[in-house]
Amino acid sequence: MEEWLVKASINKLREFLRGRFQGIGPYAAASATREAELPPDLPLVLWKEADEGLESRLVQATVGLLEEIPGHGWTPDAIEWLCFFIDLADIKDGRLMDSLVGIARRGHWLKRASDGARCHVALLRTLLDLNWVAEPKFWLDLPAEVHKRYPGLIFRGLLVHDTAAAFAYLRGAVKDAKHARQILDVLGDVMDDANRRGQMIDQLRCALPELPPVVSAHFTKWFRIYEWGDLAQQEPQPRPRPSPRSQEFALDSHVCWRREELLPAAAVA
Amino acid sequence: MSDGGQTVGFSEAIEQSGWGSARQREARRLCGELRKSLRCAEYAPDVDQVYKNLDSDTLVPDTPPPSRPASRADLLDGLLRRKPDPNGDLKTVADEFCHSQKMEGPEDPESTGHVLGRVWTFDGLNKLYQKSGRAGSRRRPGTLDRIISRASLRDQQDALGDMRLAPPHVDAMWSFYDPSARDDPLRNLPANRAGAVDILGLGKYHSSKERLVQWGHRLPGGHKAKKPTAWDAGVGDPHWRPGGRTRPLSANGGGTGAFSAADGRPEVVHAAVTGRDLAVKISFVVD
Repeated sequence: MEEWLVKASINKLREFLRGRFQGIGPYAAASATREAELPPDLPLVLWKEADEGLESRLVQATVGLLEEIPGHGWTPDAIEWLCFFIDLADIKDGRLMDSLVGIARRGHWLKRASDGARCHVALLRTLLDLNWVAEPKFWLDLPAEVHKRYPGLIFRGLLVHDTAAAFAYLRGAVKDAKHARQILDVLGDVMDDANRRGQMIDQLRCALPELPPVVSAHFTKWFRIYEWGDLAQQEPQPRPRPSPRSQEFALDSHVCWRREELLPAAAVA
Repeated sequence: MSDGGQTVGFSEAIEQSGWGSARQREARRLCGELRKSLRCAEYAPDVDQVYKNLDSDTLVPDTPPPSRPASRADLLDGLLRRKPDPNGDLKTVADEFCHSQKMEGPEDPESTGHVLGRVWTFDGLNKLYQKSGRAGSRRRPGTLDRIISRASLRDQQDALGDMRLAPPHVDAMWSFYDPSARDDPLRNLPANRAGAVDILGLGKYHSSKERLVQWGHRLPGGHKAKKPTAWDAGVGDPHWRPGGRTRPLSANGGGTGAFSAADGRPEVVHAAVTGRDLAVKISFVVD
């Protein structure tokens, strides 16, 4: 690690990180060389080797960058790399979390950044990876554009609370193979967990007949490729009639619910 | 001659520049400083190899031509005009110059019609996968691992879709091809990691434990591959050599020394391709 970087001030670190993530100026990653270094690679090495003082300066520099957005040079790509860095560095500093959550709750980037939906989703993915938990309403109230382009993110946010709620959402929101791919990526995070795997398969088998054919075919095919099981092999479990609890999210997650039985009418519409 | 030792291209650049004698003197001094700042102590065969690459690449002209690529005199001019910056050494300035001069070499007509090959880190590809709008956790590499290990070429094309297989910012990607295996650049590549890394001259990977992946792709219609210049290679890779072919690693240069220069593969730079352009499935390079 270069010595000047280890001793750099908050402002200099901010300049360095900005250059890396925006890909301009002397600190841009050597991304076109044969080894194709990526923008967060060097900042991640710096973070891992940082002592307490440098760690604190890096956090302050990062918070400063978050406050710059949207500003000159902060393209969706640059914002995604910044979020990626925070995520992979696993920075759980209180100041940084406050800043991230504040931006998320206000929907600041949604309204102001270029391609706000993409930037907001990058932020929410980082928060989920940092184990931030938002209530189901937060996910369901996200703008229509986010639902349309990133149903996998909302599915993931709901899955943190309740498996049945997440699958109920999936039934109405996942329309094509691209959406199905997002869901498969979320499922990839939990299918290695033996305790949850059976539950996921049961829920998906229940949902399958209600999904567009292109989506169910995609799930069936990729479950086979990933060796997660044959979705088409077993009949879905019988679905008991909804109970009075059906408007709540704290449901027995082994039971399959229709989306309209589970969610508020506004969310279904 | 500069005080850093003998130079070839940079000396010519200075002599042909038409600059006044004071500026020429300063340029010569800077050549010596540049050489020192590009020195790579870990590269045993020649610590000055990076400087020598910039100095000797015949695809880079000495003085500004009417067209691209930029010349050595342009680099020196940039160094002479640089703003004083206690943190910005000559290497950083040269790096930034190279960064702005990508894919300016001539087209490589011999590469046309070949499937191009690429060896890269799994971690790099996985970061691009995770960044590409997927909703899964960025911390778990499981999904791409499964796609590589278990999916067919067609299913990989489907799963990766329009995801770029190269980093953003600079729209350039390095690949190689095999003139004797038009449709599969990996066919004659050694099946083990050490052999593949040696032949392709990827010295950075030789001592690292990073998992590597390999694949083949076709360029989309209209895209042309170009011969790489020293500007493409930048200032951080002593294992690269000018001339359009990979240079197998030597025994004292971090490799096994099992391969000769003739075993190198023609290499090119081109615009980034996507998952849909895959022509040979992505696979792990085995240890």
